[in-house]
Amino acid sequence: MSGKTPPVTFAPLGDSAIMVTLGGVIDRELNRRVHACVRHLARSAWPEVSDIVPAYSSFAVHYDPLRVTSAGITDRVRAALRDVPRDDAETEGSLVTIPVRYDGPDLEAVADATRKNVEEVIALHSAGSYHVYMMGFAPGFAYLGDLDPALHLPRHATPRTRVPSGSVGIAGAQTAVYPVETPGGWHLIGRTDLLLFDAQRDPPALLHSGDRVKFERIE
Amino acid sequence: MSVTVARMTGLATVQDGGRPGFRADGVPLCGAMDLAALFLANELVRNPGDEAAIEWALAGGALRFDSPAVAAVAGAEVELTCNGAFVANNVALELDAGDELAIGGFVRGAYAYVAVRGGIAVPKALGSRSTYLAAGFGGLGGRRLRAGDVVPFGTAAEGKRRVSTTSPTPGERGVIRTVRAIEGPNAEAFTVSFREAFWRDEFTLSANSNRTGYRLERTAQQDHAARSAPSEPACVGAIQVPDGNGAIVLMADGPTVGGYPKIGVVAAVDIPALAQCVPGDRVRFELIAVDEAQRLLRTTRSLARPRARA
Repeated sequence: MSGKTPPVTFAPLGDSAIMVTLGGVIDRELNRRVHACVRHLARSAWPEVSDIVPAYSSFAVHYDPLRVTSAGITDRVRAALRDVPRDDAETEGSLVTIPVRYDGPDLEAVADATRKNVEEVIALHSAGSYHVYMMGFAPGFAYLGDLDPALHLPRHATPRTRVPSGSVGIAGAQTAVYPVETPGGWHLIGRTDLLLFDAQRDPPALLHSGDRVKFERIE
Repeated sequence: MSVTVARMTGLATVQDGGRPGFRADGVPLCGAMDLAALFLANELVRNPGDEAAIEWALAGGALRFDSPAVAAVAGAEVELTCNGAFVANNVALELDAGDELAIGGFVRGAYAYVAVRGGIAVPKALGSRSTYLAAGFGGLGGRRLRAGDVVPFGTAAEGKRRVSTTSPTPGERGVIRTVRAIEGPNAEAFTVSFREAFWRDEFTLSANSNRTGYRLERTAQQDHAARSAPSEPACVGAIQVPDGNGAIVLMADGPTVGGYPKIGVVAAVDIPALAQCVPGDRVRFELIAVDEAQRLLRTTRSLARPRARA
């Protein structure tokens, strides 16, 4: 890792988790280092640890406070992170292709707001190779970056109360598929029939942090 | 063996000790809002503490037992009747087939737990019987219970456990609740004066509160002054401060990551007391060290979460 890497910091996230922070920006390389740390720690399979949850530039280690103290788990995580394999950060996750019908209710408004026509919006969105920065917001919801800058738009000021599951949305530098019907403020440009999350499936989520995603246009 | 929902005006779902192990996929911890009350109700009927029970919120309803059963109600103090006669909360009740156990008004507290010996025996989803309403899985068909539902319960081996658990009695209306919390991982994002006011001020629980989060409001407003940062991991008890006049405490169904800065995280030992607050209740946060929070948790013992699925 380069000499400019900021120091890794450790802090209690309450009495049942710690948060490990590698930086303070959204950056694909930094995020890959987060995922490399999480993969490395997950291999240890410590019984006191129930979940290791990566975010953009930090991750949480959720542990059983009846079996290990905050200081104890911090020391163990700190020690384990000394041996994160150097090349692990470059390991690519799975490539997942998501077929999309580009017929979302906001497609024309997105074209107007970005001064493109609908075909150009579809071409830009489906040309991208996206990276799963993190999972969250809802089961199976993947925050995908990086969207072509020509399509960057702020979220709707007032979120829709119901976004149907399978909706493909964009907001800022991100794109995502809504796995379940939820409220949502993203611009909806299409939909997919793929199930992003199914509690009866193993694994339940289609996408995982670190995966790569392509959108394929279908009619 | 089963119990039939005869009437339902409240919000009732099947909940157990929670669903750890899937937070990296965005699945919340889930489980009982008041884990201490779930454990107490289960121990009263000699179940393992984190067995699935019916979590009952806000208003009443009735259950008709289709088979003989031992049941107990703990957590919120409720007007409880069996075939029309008042019976006590927090005791094991021997019920015959055809008996109707009814919850009337909620006297104190927000969440009551109806445990039945053998445990509520709906299928597990992702290692847990807890209902997660927002994504429609777990519990009975991923939804709240309604009149006419037939809820199965198991035949437990006769437990040897003795009741050793207590759960905090929900506080009286008008009494300020003190909720202990640990300083958040990015508390320094807030100015010193904002933090001082936060740990001193009194908050009121908003009606806009549910299993996902409890919204707390205060009359005194102050500039927020926290930097914006990329979304970070979140957890049950995280005290998010989206703006200057209030806070949102993430509860059992709260998101696994979040963008709002966290000024603190409620100690696990005090989540039950916070969960039992009702809209209008007043709350003050007290800052404690993480070591102290963990010591308090070890002394209560009753809040052990289930292990994550291997």
